[in-house]
Amino acid sequence: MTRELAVDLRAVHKRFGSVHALRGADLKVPKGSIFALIGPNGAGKTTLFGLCCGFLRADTGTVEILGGAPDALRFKGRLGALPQDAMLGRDITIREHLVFLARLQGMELAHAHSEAMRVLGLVDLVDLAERRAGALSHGQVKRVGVAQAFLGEPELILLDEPTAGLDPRNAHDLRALIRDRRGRQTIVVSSHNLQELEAICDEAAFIEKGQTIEAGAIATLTARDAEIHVQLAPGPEPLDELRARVANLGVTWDPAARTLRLRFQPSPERIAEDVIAEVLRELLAAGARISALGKGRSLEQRYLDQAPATE
Amino acid sequence: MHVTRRGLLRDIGLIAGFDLRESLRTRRALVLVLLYLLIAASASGIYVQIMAQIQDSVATISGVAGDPQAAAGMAMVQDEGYRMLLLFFAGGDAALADHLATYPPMVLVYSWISLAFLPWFIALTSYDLIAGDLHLRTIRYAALRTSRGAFVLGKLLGQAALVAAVTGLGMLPVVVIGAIYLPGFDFVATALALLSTWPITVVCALGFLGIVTLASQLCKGPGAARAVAVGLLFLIWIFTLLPEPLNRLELLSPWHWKFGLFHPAIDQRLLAIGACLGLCAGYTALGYLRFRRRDL
Repeated sequence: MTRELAVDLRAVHKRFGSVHALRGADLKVPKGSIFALIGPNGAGKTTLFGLCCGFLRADTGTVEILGGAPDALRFKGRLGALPQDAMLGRDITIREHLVFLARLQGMELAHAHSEAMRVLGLVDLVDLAERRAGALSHGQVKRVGVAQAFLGEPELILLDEPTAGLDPRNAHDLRALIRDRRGRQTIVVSSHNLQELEAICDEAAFIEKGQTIEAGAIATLTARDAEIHVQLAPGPEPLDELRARVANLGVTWDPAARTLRLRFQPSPERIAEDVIAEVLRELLAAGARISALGKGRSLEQRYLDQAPATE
Repeated sequence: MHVTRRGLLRDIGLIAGFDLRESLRTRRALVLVLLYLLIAASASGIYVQIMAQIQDSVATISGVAGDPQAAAGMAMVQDEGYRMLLLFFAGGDAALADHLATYPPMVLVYSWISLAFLPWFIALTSYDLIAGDLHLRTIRYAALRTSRGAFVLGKLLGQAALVAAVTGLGMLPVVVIGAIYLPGFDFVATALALLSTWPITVVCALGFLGIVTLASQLCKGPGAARAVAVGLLFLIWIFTLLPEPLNRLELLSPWHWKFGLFHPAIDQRLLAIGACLGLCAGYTALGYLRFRRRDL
């Protein structure tokens, strides 16, 4: 079954003078998904966002957004974005900014006013609606940026580092806001906080040096269905017994972290929970003491695992 | 979604309105008004001083001679000198010179000085029309919601409205200074003449605004945009000084057309209006060729 894509970038190259920012990047974002764009500084994430929004033009390659080439008039009200480092006019109130942008999306004045207040409510800034943008803190400006991206509830929302500079409370609320849109809107998020992305996203792509290294469902990337890890308390380390008694299990032991990493091939007859039960039974029978247990590896660990390979 | 021409016009209006509001809030408009009032007051002051000196000279000559005929003769010389001056400014076009003579002299002095300063005034105040938004990336919020063409036209319209308002307010010192310092000053005639030159000033300003919009679309930084705007204006001013056959290039200069805007013959006036509007559109479109493809 082919999935309908909200974003479809193929073999995209983009240069800024001597800097080759994107080197054949691919990106496929299914409609309705919450998608994470992961990569180090300078990997090309912001350039990808810029191409999707039509701010930047690809040198070569294909960019299809919501079924066509980037075009502001086609995007009108269908695409929202939080552009990185874009500033608001300092002497205009945030309500005026939002009303202006809502009207540019095609809303009539009264609707634009109510929509501006609604999105300010999403980021808890209703009380500051009449404050000039120049009088806001960095975090408040970021929240206004997020708010404008949600004006009119567009089909596709691109958020470049949305939680950078936000306090924990607001970052938490924003994650909840994004999670709440799952299945209704397509949201692409870039962030350096991989725990955050793992918690809210369905799919992800790793970008490194302008190329897409790997992409897929978070569950697949983190091997949530094909790997378990068990942390043992000081005491017996029955690795050989485990290898001998549990079939088709790849076992690695990290003595420093006292963590067993167990890989297996999942099947309908042998899902992760079956393996967990089997492994625990053997470990407990051998006298091991278990401190912690988990499925897969964190997105952060997965990222760190693949990052050196790209050097 | 089908985007109608009406939708584009609406976007242009919204951007122009927002730009004007921002100009008012940032007190940019206030600074522009004050600068222009200074220019207008200076022009009026210069005129008042010249008139006072001429009247003193006439009084002295006629007083010493004690001869009314001498005073009448001096007035004739003045009239002839004034006509020759107008003929010079009109480029030898007698019809235009005669028509200019129907304006109160103070209005002509103000208009001439105003049109001389306006291009540089526009270059030094509107250079960041687009480049400022590019520099701060503010443009990205709008570029997601409307076309780049609508953005440029909206900004141009906003600046044109601002220039129109500023030049309109610039007429106030002329009538105030004239009423205070000139004996027998005809307030109504001067005010009406000023109002009739206002659209001429605005149309001429549009030609220069087109050049500045071109510069602002070419550059990403406001500093570079200002330098390019002033450089382009200087280049286009040089066009008016070139010998034949290069002097054809002066057709590309709004300076060349400004006299035609005052012409009594309607075809000459329409030609000049069309040329200024065409230059505004042409220079803006030239910049847009780059702007529509550039990274924001």
